[in-house]
Amino acid sequence: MDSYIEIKALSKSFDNKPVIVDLNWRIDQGKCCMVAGPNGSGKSTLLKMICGLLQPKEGRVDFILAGKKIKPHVLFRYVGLTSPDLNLYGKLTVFENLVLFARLRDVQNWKKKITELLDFFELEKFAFQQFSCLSTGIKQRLKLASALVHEPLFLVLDEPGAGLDHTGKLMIYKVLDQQLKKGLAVMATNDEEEVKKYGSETIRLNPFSQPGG
Amino acid sequence: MAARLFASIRLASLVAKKDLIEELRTGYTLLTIFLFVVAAVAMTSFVIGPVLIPAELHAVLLWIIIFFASQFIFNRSFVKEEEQGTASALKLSTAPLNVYLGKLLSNLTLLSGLVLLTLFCYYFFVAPPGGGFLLVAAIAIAASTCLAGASTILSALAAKADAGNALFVALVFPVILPILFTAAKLTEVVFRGAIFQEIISGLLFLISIAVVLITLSVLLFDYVWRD
Repeated sequence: MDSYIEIKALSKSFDNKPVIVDLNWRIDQGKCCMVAGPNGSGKSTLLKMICGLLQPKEGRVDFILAGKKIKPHVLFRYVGLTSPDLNLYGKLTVFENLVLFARLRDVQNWKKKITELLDFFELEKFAFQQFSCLSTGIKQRLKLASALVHEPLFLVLDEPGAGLDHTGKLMIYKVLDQQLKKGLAVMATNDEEEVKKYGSETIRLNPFSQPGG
Repeated sequence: MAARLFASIRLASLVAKKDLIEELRTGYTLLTIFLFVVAAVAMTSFVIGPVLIPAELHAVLLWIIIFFASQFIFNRSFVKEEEQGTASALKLSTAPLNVYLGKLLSNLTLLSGLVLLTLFCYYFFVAPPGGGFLLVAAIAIAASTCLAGASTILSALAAKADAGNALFVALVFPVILPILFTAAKLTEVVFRGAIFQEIISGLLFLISIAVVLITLSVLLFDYVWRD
């Protein structure tokens, strides 16, 4: 299946200050596109626009699956996002959060999938703790697990290593390796090591200037 | 078509269940509502004492208590999602229709619980004339459906604005006033000893408002929910 994300003439500004200007890019299946740049350069804004959480001022983002454009109202079935701005439900336990997002996304065999994710992210012993009571690193692992629960074709990661220890970061690299076998990934990071390791393509953003490759 | 509708209801019930579990575990809102209702009704009973007051005053008192208690529920669902940063997770998990129906269901459950609690307390402590508990309960449930329909979509709108709470009050006021007027008037008629046939047109009016509000909300919610 030929799947890709096509970004066409994408622009976004806040209070008339341009953040993203006329960005054109294509991310093909099996590729990981890194989004790099200093704070305030618009990495999170770009990722939110890619996921459809933020409307661009101009331009558009097309998700193509087997040559056909995915309609915006069913995009949630194919996209997984982890972002510092995205939270899970504080009063629900780790297990309840995963069950909620798996069932909302109509995941078949969700019990097996959740067991696998709890095992992979070493979350079993936290399974019945409320999200609000977890440490930053464990919360980040759970956010990653919830983004992966429906095995998305397009994985979008906004600084996924934030708050994670070495073991946590290794988990992200494993996730990326697995993801690139079946789909594609877009990842925003400030870590140059990660950019070098996975950035077969890199969008470099500069504050209030045009992006460069 | 029927399969899609059942799927939507199933997914909406997941959203509603999540909201209700969060409310139960937080406890603050439900406890505040309970204390407000019990205190307001007990005070009314204490001040009125054995004095007989007219049916219209009973109806107004009852609906003022319901109106103020419902403020703890109104405007919470979507504002809370935006404030906690969970709205994005929800947007990337299911279709907008399922989110709207789920929020409507949780608001309706909370509002219905609130009005039934208020009614039980009011009948127990104040004992209004005319009886007719089941008729007043039917009016209250119909009015709750209207209020939940209005407050769910308006709360979604307000959550997008910077001054969300102020906007919500401005938006909701003209929509809920006719509902409250109708509900209070019908309640007064029941307190005067009316039977079901005498309030059926008023009940149908409330049900019609609910149908219109919910249908409009279903059509508009997709645009409101998106950025």
